[in-house]
Amino acid sequence: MTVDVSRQAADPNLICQKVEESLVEYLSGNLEPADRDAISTHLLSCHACLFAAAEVAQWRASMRSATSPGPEVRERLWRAILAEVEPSVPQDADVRRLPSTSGPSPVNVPPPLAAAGAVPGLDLLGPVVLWVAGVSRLQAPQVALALPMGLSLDLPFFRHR
Amino acid sequence: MRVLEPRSSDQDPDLPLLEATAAGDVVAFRNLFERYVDPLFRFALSRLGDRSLAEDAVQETLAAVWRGARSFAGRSKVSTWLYGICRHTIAKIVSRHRVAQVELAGGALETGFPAAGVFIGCDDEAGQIDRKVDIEQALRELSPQHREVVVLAMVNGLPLEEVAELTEVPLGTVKSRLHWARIYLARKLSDDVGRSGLRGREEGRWK
Ligand SMILES: [Zn+2]
Repeated sequence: MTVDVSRQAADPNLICQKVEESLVEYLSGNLEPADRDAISTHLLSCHACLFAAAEVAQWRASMRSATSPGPEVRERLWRAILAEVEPSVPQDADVRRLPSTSGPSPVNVPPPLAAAGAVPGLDLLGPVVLWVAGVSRLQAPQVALALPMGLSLDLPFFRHR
Repeated sequence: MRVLEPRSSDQDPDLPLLEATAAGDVVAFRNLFERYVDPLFRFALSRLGDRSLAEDAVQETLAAVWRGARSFAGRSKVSTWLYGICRHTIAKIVSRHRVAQVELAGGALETGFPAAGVFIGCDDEAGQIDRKVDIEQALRELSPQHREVVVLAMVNGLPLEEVAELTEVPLGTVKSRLHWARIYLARKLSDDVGRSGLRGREEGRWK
């Protein structure tokens, strides 16, 4: 897909439509940096798309929470899997020293995302990290003002500029 | 100006973990487990509609990964391979427990999505309960095909190309399913907060 989301493009509605179509990939960090940056720029100037992005991010957080296995199931799964594969696990493997499921994520996941559960691809983070009030502090007040109650939006891409 | 292309040049971060797992490294396997236990559980739950069966699916999948790590041929990303094993395992469980009819029926389905203990994103308790019910209801009402795409792409964050490969449908179909699922969710979930992106559009652009 080749779409121009720059300010020079003629039809704002078409730009917004393309941005909205890419929001899931954007929030997952699955876009090339140039595309990601173009959408980040658009979000700071378009109220509707910013709301849409906040909305998708909130659904994602809610669905993650609703479909999480939870710590007990995670631990039970790990024990069950170890028991199932035990004959092939090296005898000197001390599983008690393995990292705990409640500990920090073993692969670098940014803290807000780690809180939502380690997900493949998220360590290759996209620019917008959204999580909820009470968990985060606002980093971009002018953006946060535009968001519905209970939501905050962090734009590390802009912070680093 | 070329934009909106999926990124493709990144190294697969899971490959070193899988290679070490293949060599018998339990700590690497544990890291793989940590990275995939939640996404695979969500995927299995979305297909099986039962937490206990989803747990079985994840257990069988990751045990198979330990045993079969050496057979990974590198023709796909590790994540695609893992999800593929999980999908195969889910199919076995579906036939074992005769839940295939449920998946094929479509329409309003009992997915078994549990009540979230803490429903983040709301400030007041009444709001929490309403929104929790809303999101579970909305997920239940999606067709199995739309629900699968929502869970893989929107919740687990898989690239759409990977979702297409995994679900064995064209990329355009994945995009279309995601598009309609998003519109459905917006209509279903946004009434109570009055901030739908679609309605935001009608209110005009930010000056
Ligand atoms: Zn827009």
